Amino acid sequence: MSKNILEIKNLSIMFGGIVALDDVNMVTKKGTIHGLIGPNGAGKTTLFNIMTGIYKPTSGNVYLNEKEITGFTPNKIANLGIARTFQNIRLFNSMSVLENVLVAMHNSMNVNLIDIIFKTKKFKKEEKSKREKAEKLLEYTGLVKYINNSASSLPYGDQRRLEIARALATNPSLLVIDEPAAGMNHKETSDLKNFLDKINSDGTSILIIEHDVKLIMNLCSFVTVLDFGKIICEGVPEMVKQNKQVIEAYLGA
Amino acid sequence: MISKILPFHKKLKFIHGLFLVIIALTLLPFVIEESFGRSWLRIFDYTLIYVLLALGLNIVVGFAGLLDLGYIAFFAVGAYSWAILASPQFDIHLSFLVILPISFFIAGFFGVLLGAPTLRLRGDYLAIVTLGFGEIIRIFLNNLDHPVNVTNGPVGINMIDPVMIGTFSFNNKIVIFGIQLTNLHFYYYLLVICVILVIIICQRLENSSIGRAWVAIREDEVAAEAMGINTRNVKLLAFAMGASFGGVSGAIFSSFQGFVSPESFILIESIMVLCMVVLGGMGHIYGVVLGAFILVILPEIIRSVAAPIQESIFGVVLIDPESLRMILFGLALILVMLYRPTGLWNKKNV
Amino acid sequence: MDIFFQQIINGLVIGSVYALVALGYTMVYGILGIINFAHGEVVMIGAMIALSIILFLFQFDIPIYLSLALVFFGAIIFCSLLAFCIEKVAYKPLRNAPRLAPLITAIGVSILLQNIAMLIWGRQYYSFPQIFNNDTYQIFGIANITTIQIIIILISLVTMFFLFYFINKTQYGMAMRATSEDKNAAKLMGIEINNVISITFIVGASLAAVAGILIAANYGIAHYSMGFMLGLKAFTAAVLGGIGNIVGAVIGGLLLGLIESLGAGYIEKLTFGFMGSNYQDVIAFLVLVLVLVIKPNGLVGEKSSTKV
Repeated sequence: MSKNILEIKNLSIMFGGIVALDDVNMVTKKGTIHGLIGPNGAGKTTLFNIMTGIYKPTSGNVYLNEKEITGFTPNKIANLGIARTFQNIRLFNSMSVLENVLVAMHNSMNVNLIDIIFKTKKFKKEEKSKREKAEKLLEYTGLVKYINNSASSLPYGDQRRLEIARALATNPSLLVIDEPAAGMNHKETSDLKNFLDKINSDGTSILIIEHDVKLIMNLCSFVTVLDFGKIICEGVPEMVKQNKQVIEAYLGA
Repeated sequence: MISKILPFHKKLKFIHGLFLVIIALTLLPFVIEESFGRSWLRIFDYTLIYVLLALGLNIVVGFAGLLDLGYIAFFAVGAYSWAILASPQFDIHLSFLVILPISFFIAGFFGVLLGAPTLRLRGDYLAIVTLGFGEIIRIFLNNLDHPVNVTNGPVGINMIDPVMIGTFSFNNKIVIFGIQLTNLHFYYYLLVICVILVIIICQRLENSSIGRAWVAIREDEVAAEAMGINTRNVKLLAFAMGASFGGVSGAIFSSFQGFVSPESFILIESIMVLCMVVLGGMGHIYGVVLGAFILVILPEIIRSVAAPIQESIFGVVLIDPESLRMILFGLALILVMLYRPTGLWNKKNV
Repeated sequence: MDIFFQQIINGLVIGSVYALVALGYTMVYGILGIINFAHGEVVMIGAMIALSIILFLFQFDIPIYLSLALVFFGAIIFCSLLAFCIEKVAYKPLRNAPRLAPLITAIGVSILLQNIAMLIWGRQYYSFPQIFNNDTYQIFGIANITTIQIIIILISLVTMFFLFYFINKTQYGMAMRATSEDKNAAKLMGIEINNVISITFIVGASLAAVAGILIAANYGIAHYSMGFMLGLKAFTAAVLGGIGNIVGAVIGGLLLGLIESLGAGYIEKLTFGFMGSNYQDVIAFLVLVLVLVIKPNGLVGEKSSTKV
């Protein structure tokens, strides 16, 4: 069962004259939680952006489940099974918690314009079933008490959770999370760890960018370290933690 | 037990209220005509046309957040579709049941034509491009009288057919119970029915996956796309639907007025409709209807009292009503944006 | 070939005016990120004020160069004041509002200016007085150029030269460039943003005043509605060159003038008689749409990068 859910081959990207990613090779195994760490500016979010279609790489390839997705549009990649959260939370603030999740179910809605305009039985059935599904997802993610509140009114930690819940609503095979523990205290981080463990054991592979070393150690089975656009170390957390280059990158030479 | 009675009770109340509204709407044109005169009924009819326009633009600007400064072009396309297909211009006289869907689709087609290459532009650029498009349409309408006379140029097309149901023309006058019904009344009923239909359609769109996708795109297009929404197609749909509604509104306008000329489709009209949407609170259906009413009726009131008031105070008309209307409009734009940018009537805060 | 060089000359003349106006748009956009919809009307006000000053001075016996100076300075000062007030009243309060808000106030200001101008000067088309003899010179026997046209090109060049000097060689100019790059960083450097913004508007308005006078002199007409189309086309020119980019505005302006002029000259031939020169305005809009669709950052390019 060592199928690779995500494979990145010789990926490079340049912005103007700056090489943001330099010949990056990375593999995420299916069913695992894979950590991506590195100092600020190392290129982690850029890598995520390329994976999810927001940027096109200058060279190299991205494969999802061994099928090429390099250069696909973000919505196509989302439909193929990668869902993401953002470094700066990007919820739909004027919408309710429920609506945020419903939006992510857009593509699985089996209705067309006629159904909507004439409010057919099919429309009503689909709306009802999707709303139930969304509510179940909110229960699963512990947010159902906020169901009709506006997304912006949630406490910070729960907003992060909502972003993850929203991403899960697209039914992904790979969940790509960008610094979910930023600004969280110990308790929140611990809750987050349990939350992500649960999602993972229920079948979703996770690729996570984080600065919280403890969280990475406890959560991930494999860690990749990025610095100045290059991979400087890869392996199990214990090994990576003790790697000299990694320590230097974080603390300075 | 109680839960069985309550819904029934609510239903009864609803039907009761609906009945009252229908009676009120049916009697309204006569009330207006009696209290204020025939010209105000005509103004009311024009207001309803603008309500349709505002509702259409509300889909584009209010729901999807796409800035369109050239919306009147679709109105023009619809209007000229009717004018060309039901007038002496080419001596074609199709019935309104045929032309209405035609104007719907032609305007929608132009919406797709304009939207396809431009909707990926960001806010201000899209605004200017749509403005340019509106002007291009107007210039073409103004000049397509040679080499082939399609639009009859700056003079416009007149003697446009009114709506006909069977052999009954809306321009006929009939007398029922001693009350005279004119085209003002017939068009009123047609327009009210259209407005109600459009409102229902807009509400259904709003509360569907499409409506939510529009709001998501308006809020954060990048996030929306990351959730799997094909933002390009969804935006195009908003644009095309808005255009189609504009086209239908234009067709009715054309038959109501009996003539069209490029002068009715100048930039200020697009701006006016945009302001109706902004004033009403972008996205808020009933607010937009209110915005349309305010922006049509208030200036008409100003126009009718501006001269007499000035004469009684100053003895002479200092500022002609038209200029006064425009100056007040300009001032209103500035003041509303400074003090009440979310519109007079806020969308409910979730 | 017969009209080619003539149209080139005409194009460069009108293009330099477009450039002057485009500069105003581009500078404001570079610093505030908004489209100053009212800018075209400031051009019109410049022309109308100049007209009034000229008509007033005609009553007296003043040497030509003095009256010219008075006309230019009068219009520049008035327009600068006007733009300064517009910014303070209609744009400053909305600096943190969503994009749509200042656009709508700008439209409101534009409507106000146009209608107030109509009230003051009326609806008639005024003939812009000829201050000096308008001779026609032949260039290599292939094209004509009039005195007015030469003056327009010269004054535009001089004005642009002053602007470039101001932007690149003075403290104020450097402050403007810094502010348009990064408002917050500029603030932290001790730059008084409000002053910089006011100066930007004043400079833009001065250029607009000059442009208004030149355009009125070129066509010999001044009218309360002359600002609208000109404003739109100048904005097109700014976008063509890359909005926010000063060099782009000049290149865009000249290029648009040339395209429009050559287009108007050849349109009948190009469309086999279907479209005549009455479609001239369409050319500018078509250019706009094409540029935005094919190269949204303009020819010279606008710096734009958003972090995701």
